[in-house]
Amino acid sequence: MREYIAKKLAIAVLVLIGVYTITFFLTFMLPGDPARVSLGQHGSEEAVELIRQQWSLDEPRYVQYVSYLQLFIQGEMGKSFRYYPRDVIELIRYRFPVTAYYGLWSIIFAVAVSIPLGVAAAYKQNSIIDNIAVLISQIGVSLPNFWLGMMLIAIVAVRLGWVNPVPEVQYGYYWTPIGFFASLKDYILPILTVGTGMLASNTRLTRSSMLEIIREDYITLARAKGLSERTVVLKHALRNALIPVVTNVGLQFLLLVGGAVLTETVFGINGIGKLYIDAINYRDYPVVIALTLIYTGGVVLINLIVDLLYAKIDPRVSLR
Amino acid sequence: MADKEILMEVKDLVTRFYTEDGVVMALEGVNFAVYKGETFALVGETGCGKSVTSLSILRLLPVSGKTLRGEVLFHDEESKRRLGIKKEGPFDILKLSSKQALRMRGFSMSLITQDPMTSLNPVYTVGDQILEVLQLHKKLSDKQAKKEALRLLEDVELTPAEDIFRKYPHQLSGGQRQRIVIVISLAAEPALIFADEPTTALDVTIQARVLELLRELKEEFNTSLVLITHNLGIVAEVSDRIGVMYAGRVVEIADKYTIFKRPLHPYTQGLIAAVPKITEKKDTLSFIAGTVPNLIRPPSGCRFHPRCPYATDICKEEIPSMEEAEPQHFVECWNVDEVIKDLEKEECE
Ligand SMILES: Nc1ncnc2c1ncn2[C@@H]1O[C@H](COP(=O)(O)OP(=O)(O)O)[C@@H](O)[C@H]1O
Ligand code: SF4
Ligand SMILES: [Mg+2]
Repeated sequence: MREYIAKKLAIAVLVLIGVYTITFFLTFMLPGDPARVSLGQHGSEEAVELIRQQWSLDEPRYVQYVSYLQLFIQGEMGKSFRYYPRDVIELIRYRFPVTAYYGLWSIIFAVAVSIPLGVAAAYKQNSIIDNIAVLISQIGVSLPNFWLGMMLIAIVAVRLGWVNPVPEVQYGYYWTPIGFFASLKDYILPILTVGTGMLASNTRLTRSSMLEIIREDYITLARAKGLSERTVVLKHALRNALIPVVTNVGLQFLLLVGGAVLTETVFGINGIGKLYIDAINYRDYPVVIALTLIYTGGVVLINLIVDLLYAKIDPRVSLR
Repeated sequence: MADKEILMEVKDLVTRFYTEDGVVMALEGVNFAVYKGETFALVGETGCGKSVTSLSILRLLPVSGKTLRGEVLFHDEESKRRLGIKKEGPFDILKLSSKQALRMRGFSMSLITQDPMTSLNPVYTVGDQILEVLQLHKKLSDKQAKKEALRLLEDVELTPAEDIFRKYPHQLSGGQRQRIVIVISLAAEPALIFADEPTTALDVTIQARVLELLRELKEEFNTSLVLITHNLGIVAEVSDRIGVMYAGRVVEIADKYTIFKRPLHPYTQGLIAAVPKITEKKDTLSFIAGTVPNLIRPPSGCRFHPRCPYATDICKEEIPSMEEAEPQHFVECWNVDEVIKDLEKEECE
């Protein structure tokens, strides 16, 4: 297993270098002078010149490529163009907690609802609960997330006035033990918005997986042993049914980060997604590249975790 | 066999499935009995209702299936004690509460499923899956249960038992897995075991050994066995008595030799006549003209009439009931007298 992890990490390094290369050349192909664009209309000629020099923007591409790479290898991410002289890492550290906060709750919400719902729906196929589950998953899958988000804002926040449309919470408060729960009210709309999409696909998958499993011979045999329905479903069926669900949840973590741009634009949250889209708009290349690399690292890490979980749940899977 | 004690009497069992295509009349009045300690074989073409019979009795039908009528009288004092039944005489399995049915399964009767490759849960060790039964029905401590499990593994010649105990199903061969399934079905020492095509999915070379094992264990544990199969070769080898099923009814019951030497039901006659000689390669049961009837719209009267050479008018109208045509030889056929006459003619010639 340790070998397996080591191998995966080695591959990860190669992937990161590849992704770095692609992003590097793609970003620098965007039109416009980054120093100019990121400092905006009012940037003085001196400031622009300073950035040009700092980032060797006048050097050939390959020199930039190498000097940047060296920086990353040393574990640094350089300084932002736009917020010069602030460090990229500092910007990310500042924006990350809120994205992680509503993201984690979305997943908790989705998993906590979808698995019991999917199991119940499959177990009582064609019952009311099954119809509800099917309906929810169909609606959830077909509704665009941003539309759902805007509807929620329009109805729950604006019309009913139950919550603030734009979450206002003191930075970092949500990661304190009290704040983690107390901030739920402020972030309930983005959590519901993001969570519903996940919930939908996860319910559907749990249900279909469970439907397939409860027809298996080993379930009949488990029943023939005299085991209670509870044991048959929760011990014998569920663990098998969860195997594909684990992959799906892993995938959703990734979609979450991808979807953060949209979510945070709709809800005006100052998270990673907002940082990313702003960085692209303002040609803040160091931020764009750093975030892309972190995202890639996240993909690799999540895949690794999914693999390990997989092997834990299913003894037929051997990690090699 | 008449002097033997009865274990189970199945009377007029009717089971249907309610599907989108219509109502499947899977069992239309099944009757048979099983004696203590015997191997009773249920034989018939695929789709005639053998598995549904066992699932109906075990009360394990899927939700679309319902047993509408019938009795399954079970004569077993130990089961009655466990289920808290005080009443004298046998009890009706179909009348048990679902809670009682739960305690009955595994303890009074168990099941050996057809395909060992899919019958064990892939995510638990075989040891776990054996312990489950022992702890549920025998109330053993963890330590005793494990000891008993190892003993059972040795009984079915899976050694070293300690090793096997810790293995996952996918680490074992088909034959080994089927032995595990056998161990699971025997673990609580039930009075009756249904073995549904227990060797069909196995390699021919190990089929014989598994059957042999089943027979030995049945003796050792003093249980009765209902052996479900479409393979007459297996039946000839291990059964005591045979019930022949056709389209949801048991049409003939007799001891093994009688069924093979003097079948009286026209369907059984065709079946036996079609058993391939060793030199022939032929699909065992596809001989009789016509096809197995659709059970959503089954033929009226005797369901065999469209294929039967003896069929007369009454066969199309009414289902014949089971009669003891000869001592201990039960047949469901309006024209069994004609059949017997024909046999006598043949003997004279
Ligand atoms: N779950 C089910 N739903 C609908 N029909 C079923 C179901 N299970 C069995 N049947 C029908 O019941 C009849 C008997 O099936 P079965 O007992 O499995 O036959 P076999 O003798 O081969 O074991 C068949 O016509 C089959 O199609
Ligand atoms: S009852 Fe009639 S149709 Fe049925 S087996 Fe006898 S003779 Fe044939
Ligand atoms: Mg069958």
